[in-house]
Amino acid sequence: MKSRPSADDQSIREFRPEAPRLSSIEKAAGKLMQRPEPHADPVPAAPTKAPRSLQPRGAETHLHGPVRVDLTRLYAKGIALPANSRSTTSEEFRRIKRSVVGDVRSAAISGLRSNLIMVTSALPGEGKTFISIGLAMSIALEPDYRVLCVDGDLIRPRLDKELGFKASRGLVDLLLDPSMDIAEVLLPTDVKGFSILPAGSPHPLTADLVASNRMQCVLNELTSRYPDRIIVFDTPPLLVTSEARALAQYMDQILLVIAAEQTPKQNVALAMEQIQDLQNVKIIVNKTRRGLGSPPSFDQYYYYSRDRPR
Amino acid sequence: MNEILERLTIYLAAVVRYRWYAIAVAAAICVFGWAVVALLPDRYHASARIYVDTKSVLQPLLKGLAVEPVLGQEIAAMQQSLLSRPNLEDVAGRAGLDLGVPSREQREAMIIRLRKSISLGASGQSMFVIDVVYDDPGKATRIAQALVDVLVDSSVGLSREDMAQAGGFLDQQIQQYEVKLEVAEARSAEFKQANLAYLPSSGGFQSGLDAARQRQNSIGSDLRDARTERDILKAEIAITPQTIEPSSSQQAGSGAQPGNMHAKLADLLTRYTEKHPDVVALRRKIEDRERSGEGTIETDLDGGSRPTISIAPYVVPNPSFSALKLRVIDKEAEVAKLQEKLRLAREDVQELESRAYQAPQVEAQMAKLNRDYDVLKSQYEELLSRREQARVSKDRDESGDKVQFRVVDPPRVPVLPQGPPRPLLLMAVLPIAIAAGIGLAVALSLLRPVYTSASEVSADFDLPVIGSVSLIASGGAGRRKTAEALGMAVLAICLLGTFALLMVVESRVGLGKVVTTTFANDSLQPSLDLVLHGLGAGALRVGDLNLGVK
Repeated sequence: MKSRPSADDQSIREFRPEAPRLSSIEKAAGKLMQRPEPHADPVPAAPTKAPRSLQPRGAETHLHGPVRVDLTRLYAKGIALPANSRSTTSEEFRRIKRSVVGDVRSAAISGLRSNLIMVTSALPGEGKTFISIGLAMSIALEPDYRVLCVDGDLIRPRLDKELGFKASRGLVDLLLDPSMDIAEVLLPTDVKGFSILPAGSPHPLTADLVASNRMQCVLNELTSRYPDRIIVFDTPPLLVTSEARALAQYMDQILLVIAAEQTPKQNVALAMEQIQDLQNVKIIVNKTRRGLGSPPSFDQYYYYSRDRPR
Repeated sequence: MNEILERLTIYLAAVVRYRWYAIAVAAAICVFGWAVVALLPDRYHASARIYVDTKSVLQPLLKGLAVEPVLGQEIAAMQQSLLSRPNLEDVAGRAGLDLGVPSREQREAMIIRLRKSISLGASGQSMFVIDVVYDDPGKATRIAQALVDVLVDSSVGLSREDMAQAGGFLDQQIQQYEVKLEVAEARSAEFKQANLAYLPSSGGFQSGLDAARQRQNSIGSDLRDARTERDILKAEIAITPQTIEPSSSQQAGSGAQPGNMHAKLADLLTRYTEKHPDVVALRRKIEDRERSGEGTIETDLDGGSRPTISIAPYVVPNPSFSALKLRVIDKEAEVAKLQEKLRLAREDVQELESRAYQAPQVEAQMAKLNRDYDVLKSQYEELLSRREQARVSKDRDESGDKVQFRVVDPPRVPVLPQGPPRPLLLMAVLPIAIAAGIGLAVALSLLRPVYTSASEVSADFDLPVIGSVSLIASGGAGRRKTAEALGMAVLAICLLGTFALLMVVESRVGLGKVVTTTFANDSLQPSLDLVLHGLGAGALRVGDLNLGVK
């Protein structure tokens, strides 16, 4: 099955249905659908097989076909958007992405690596997964980069549910079996530039697994293979487990998500204490309400302007 | 400005976050507050106005003698005395408040409550006002009436007492003045005695001095006259012979005649001077006679050595001579007398003059004594007259004509209660409840502070805030929101409805009445009837509503 569009389609975000049965997706996508690609045959499970089509960027070895991402669900949540449209949320994610990608870029210029992004928070329910997916989707729109979204919350993996796919194996299995290749668990999606690494089977000692050398190796491999791949880790909350802190030491950028009007300030302070010795920590505030003195949102700005294409 | 807006946003967000807590508290306060307002006892107000006769009998009596008390001070004094413990107990007894009050503490409480419910005031120049506020109209009226009675009773005795006091005061004053008068009189008499010499009987000292001087002068002139006469007489004697010959009758006659003529001359000379024509004529005559005489008249007095043809005359003493001599003696005596008088007069004058310096002082002092005495006397007489006046008025007063207090407005039983202002209180409960709700929400937010915006976060931490993602409403949230809004609306409507109902009942019937009927009859039926009657609806049986109450 073909997984990558041709070069001239790069500027346009495409959603390619796998089969005609995905016409509902077509309908949901509406007139923004691009011409469908011919069906691709499933790739045989040979890791060394080269991909069918040559990409301008480095090709990914996939053992699995692209996972269908439940875009309607993402639309409903506001994370993803039909192409050629912008919204307040997409603008907000774009702003976050700018900062993140900017760091990646400037690090790359200096010869350093800054591709490992960790999204965490103080308490559960602050919107880490939401932010990770949104950020990853936003980065996937970048022409220069691709994104791998890793479900680092090994205790309560959410990524598969959010994105609407079923996964059996993932990071845990990768960590447990040193001989496993990454490609075995890496899942491409039908969203261009967006891949997934699920959490994997549940395991009691995930905290220690994450802190092991094997993790380091995995991360090194992930980043070294494709320098243009940004890896976004969705991790557990800092104050609930120690995994996040353990993971944080490997990360290049740590994004702390704070849910407005939800998390008590002292908890935020506690979480901050844990990671304050690490470098490159940034904050994202989630679930904000528009206040009395805040600037107008994108929707207000755009939808009430006369130049909007109707 | 922005910070203020941000602060407001934070508080608003807090209220929204804790909205259910806020609403619960507000509703609770509303219900509780309205219940309290409904259960407040009605206050009934009974008042009496009493006219105070400020032109009381006392005032004109004591005018100018004692300080007139001001009405305000009198009221204060009256308040103190009227609301004293024994008086209050008396009032409580008269008003029937102490029925069913067995224990001492309860009595105490009742007396204290009574004290608090009474207020005395003055309205205008001469009106006392007694105000009683109580929760039972009958009791309020009875208390006010009891107070009026107590006041009137005490006042009757009061005026008589005052009278007696005034009379005593006057008597005392009169006695004092009598003593003073006596002292003054004695002093005056003493002074007069001591300075009698200085004080002539009339006209003052100066006139006495003048009179003395005048006397002296007149005596002096008299003396001069007398001396002059004496001298003249003496001169005459000198030229009058002592003896004369008794000649013939002619001689005698002539002799007598010269003698007579000399006597006549001497007489004339006492009256006239030498130049007088009579005197001149007489002298010529005498000279002629002497020349024409035998010259027998030449005496030794001439001292001449005229040869006399003495015949050995027969001489007799000259009568005129002896007459003259007698006269001289008289005059001498007179002169001596006058001299003595003059001397005395001079002494008088001198003595008076020596006292002239002290005289005015003494006179002044005497005048002062007199003046003091006069003043005392006039005051004394005034006091006497007032005492008489007091006696007369006292007799008049005891007959019962003049009353000091008059009840203008007797206390009436009030029909409507004066307070508390229930509509106002009911309305006041609402903003209090709202404020309490908001306050609770804010307090809770302060107890559990959270971040509301990216700027708050960046204020607290040094780390960069690279973005803020707005809240996205999901479908379920929308439904939940609608349900919530509906619930809140229902609650608000319930509360407002209750409020409206309470206001209507209060304006038509009176919440106090409703409450009291409920408690009095121990069931809702009569109060329900009352309410419905007031609202204009028909009677409604409690059983029909199936309220489940007795």
